Amino acid sequence: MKKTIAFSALIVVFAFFLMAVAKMRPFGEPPMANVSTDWDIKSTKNSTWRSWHDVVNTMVDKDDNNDSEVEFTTRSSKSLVGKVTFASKTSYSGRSWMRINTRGGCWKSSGKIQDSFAGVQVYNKTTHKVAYYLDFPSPVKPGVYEWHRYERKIAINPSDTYSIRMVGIDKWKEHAVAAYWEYLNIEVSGEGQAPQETKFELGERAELEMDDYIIEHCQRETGANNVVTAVVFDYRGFDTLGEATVLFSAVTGVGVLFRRRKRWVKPEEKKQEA
Amino acid sequence: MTPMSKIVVLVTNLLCGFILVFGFYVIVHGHLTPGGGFQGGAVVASACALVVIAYGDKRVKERLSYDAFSAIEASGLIAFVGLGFFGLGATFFYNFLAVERISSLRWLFGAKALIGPNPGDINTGGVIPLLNLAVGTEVLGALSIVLLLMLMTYTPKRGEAEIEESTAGRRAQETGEKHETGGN
Repeated sequence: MKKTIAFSALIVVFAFFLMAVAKMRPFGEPPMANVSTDWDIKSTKNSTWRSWHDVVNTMVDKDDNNDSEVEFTTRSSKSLVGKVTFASKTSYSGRSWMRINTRGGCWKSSGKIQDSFAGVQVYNKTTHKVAYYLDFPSPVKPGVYEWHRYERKIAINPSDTYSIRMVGIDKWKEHAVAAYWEYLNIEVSGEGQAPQETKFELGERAELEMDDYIIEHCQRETGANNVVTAVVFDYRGFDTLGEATVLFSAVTGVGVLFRRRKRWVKPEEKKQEA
Repeated sequence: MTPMSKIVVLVTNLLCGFILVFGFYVIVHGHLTPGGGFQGGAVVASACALVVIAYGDKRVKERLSYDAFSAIEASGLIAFVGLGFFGLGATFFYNFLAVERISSLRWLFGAKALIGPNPGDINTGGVIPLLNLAVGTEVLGALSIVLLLMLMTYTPKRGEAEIEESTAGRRAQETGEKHETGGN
């Protein structure tokens, strides 16, 4: 027993010594993950180009500029929301663009065609403003599909988060409006260094973004690198208190189950009692 | 519960320190690497289990005390709840130390973390490392207490009790075994 304690103390002291040596950084700074590469707008080699060929008949969403509430008739339960995320401003210098290349159109069941509109909306989630709205021209007749091909290049701020969604709005809430697309290509490019991370995800609902929020803001808000620990001890700290209470009560239960009349009796005391 | 052979005791002597260091490493680096208070506390309690098994109940009862581990567990839980109450200026369990929210307490895990993939700095995370320490203390106390409680109620078998009476009896048993094997 004495040997165990002595060895343990020795190894702990040695470990602290190693930590102190590591703190002095005798081998230089630890290597950082190099994620930035040179970025040239002319070459598409480094740029992120992803395309989808899912045909989604309808994607409707609320127009944030419009104060009045608008109801939509969705013809498809599948929602299609794209998201372009730039992780950090510090690794980036210069302007950047996002090029939208899509083929789609506006569809309307009946009624006045001028009062309804549909299109692709680029929504800045950081400033909560519509950065760009690509208006699909209204069809000539109700109930007729018209396909058009669009290509737009818009300036974006690399430190902001953007979401791209299809919007269909009927001004008088009477008729079904739909924006449909055949494909949507997004190309992000800029001068100087590349942004750290470019993400574009499909099939997500815009409302359920708690997980994305935690992953994106964990390091900024809590300062912890381990997202799981940040969730367990910071975002859901109260839950962890419950877990600790469960453990405490479990130990109490074991104590009740294994109880003895006498408390912990050392062998010498036992001899004295005898 | 007889003490185990010299080999086990020797290996316990050598290994126990490393297990303790690894457990405390998992606790302290909880906000940077996989693991945390619960996991690290369980590792430290496993070192306690190793000692209990290798040395037997009699010698463990001489050194480790139930009350000490009880105090450790209770202090861990009190520290955890207390740290939760410290954040009550904003909300319960508010991370009031992180990212230079209190600039004078920047040395207490208050530095800003680097954004993006990076090896991590130990001086980040705010309350999270402190909560990790509190939970680790609680878990190592709790699991060790469970072991010690089971050891308290341990009643030796008939043969074992006689052997444990003295070391002479143990020696006699060993020589007897040798004699038997020699005879065969």
